[in-house]
Amino acid sequence: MPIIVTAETRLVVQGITGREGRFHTLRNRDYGTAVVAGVTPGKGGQDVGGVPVYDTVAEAVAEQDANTAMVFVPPRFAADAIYEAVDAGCGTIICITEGIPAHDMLRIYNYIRPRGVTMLGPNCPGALSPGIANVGIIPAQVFAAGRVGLVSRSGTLTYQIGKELADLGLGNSTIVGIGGDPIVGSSFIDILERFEADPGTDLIVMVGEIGGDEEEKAGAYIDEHVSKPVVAYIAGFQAPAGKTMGHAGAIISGSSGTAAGKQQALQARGIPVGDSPTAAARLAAERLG
Amino acid sequence: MEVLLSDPNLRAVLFNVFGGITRGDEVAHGILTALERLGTTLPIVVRLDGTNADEGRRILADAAPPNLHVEATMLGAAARVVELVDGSAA
Repeated sequence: MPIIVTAETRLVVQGITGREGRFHTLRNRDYGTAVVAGVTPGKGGQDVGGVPVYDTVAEAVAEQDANTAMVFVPPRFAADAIYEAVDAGCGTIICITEGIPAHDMLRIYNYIRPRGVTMLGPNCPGALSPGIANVGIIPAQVFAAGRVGLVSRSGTLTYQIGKELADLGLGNSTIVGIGGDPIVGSSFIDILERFEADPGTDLIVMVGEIGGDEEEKAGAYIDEHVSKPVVAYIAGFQAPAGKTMGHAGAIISGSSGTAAGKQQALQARGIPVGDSPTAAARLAAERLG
Repeated sequence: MEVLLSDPNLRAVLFNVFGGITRGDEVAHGILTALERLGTTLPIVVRLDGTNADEGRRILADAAPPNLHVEATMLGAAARVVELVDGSAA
């Protein structure tokens, strides 16, 4: 059984008529996702490869029962797009857009959380439940269906570990990209809680990177609340201090947020940390016997 | 590539791309354009996977510049670039 992106997902794509929106919408649909609508203000009545386009998310929800929104809207307009999806009743919002101002995200975070909306991203690759549905930009062909839950701050590292797991004969229940920005809609802990509750997940792989203290907090949470085995990978052992490494949130500030510090914090809780994506996949395979 | 190649100590370039939103065919065209425009003879090692990777690898194989080496995996590509650089050590 998957989490977040399931057989019940009915997707509306905000920014469907843009270059990336169109390309990935059609890839998601070809994979088997129920892509029921798109939204671009002013382009209502058009279609993208047969997917009807509406002017507003409210119309897409009323006409097509959309329950999940994927955001491909440029950063300057993305915050409004997210508020619109929440107000239209979408319970899940997956935001691919990179470059949303942190101040916008602070307000969005405090808007979605009390309303019980699940949000992934911004600056995330989306979520894939192999064989069931793909929402976002994850290259689904490298992942197999199975019982490993994967949660990550990085897209490419997720793909690499997914491929290594598949090479070892392991598949995934759901792959969840939470995003590389300093402020994101869902934390590691939010996703760990759902994998713990998911009967289709036997083991969880957590992929962190330098910056912030979400991995440390996740370690403490796992210690107290997660009964399933967890293995981890942390990117950025060679990263210099004070420099963002690919993601806005991936920055070592002073002596905090280092890969070594995160590794120690997790290992102190009994969570093994692989020193490469290959090693992390092997740890997962060993744990599953 | 222009910035990388401006470093006189540079001995090889490794591309490691596992594309999600990045498309392999576009990466391949970009690499070929850069090679054509900058005319470097340094070894270039490319590992392409993910979105449109098959197409990207086909584009590189069709053009096949003599200094371009395509590898299937990340570890294979890393080993290859080290080998090429070691082989050229003075």
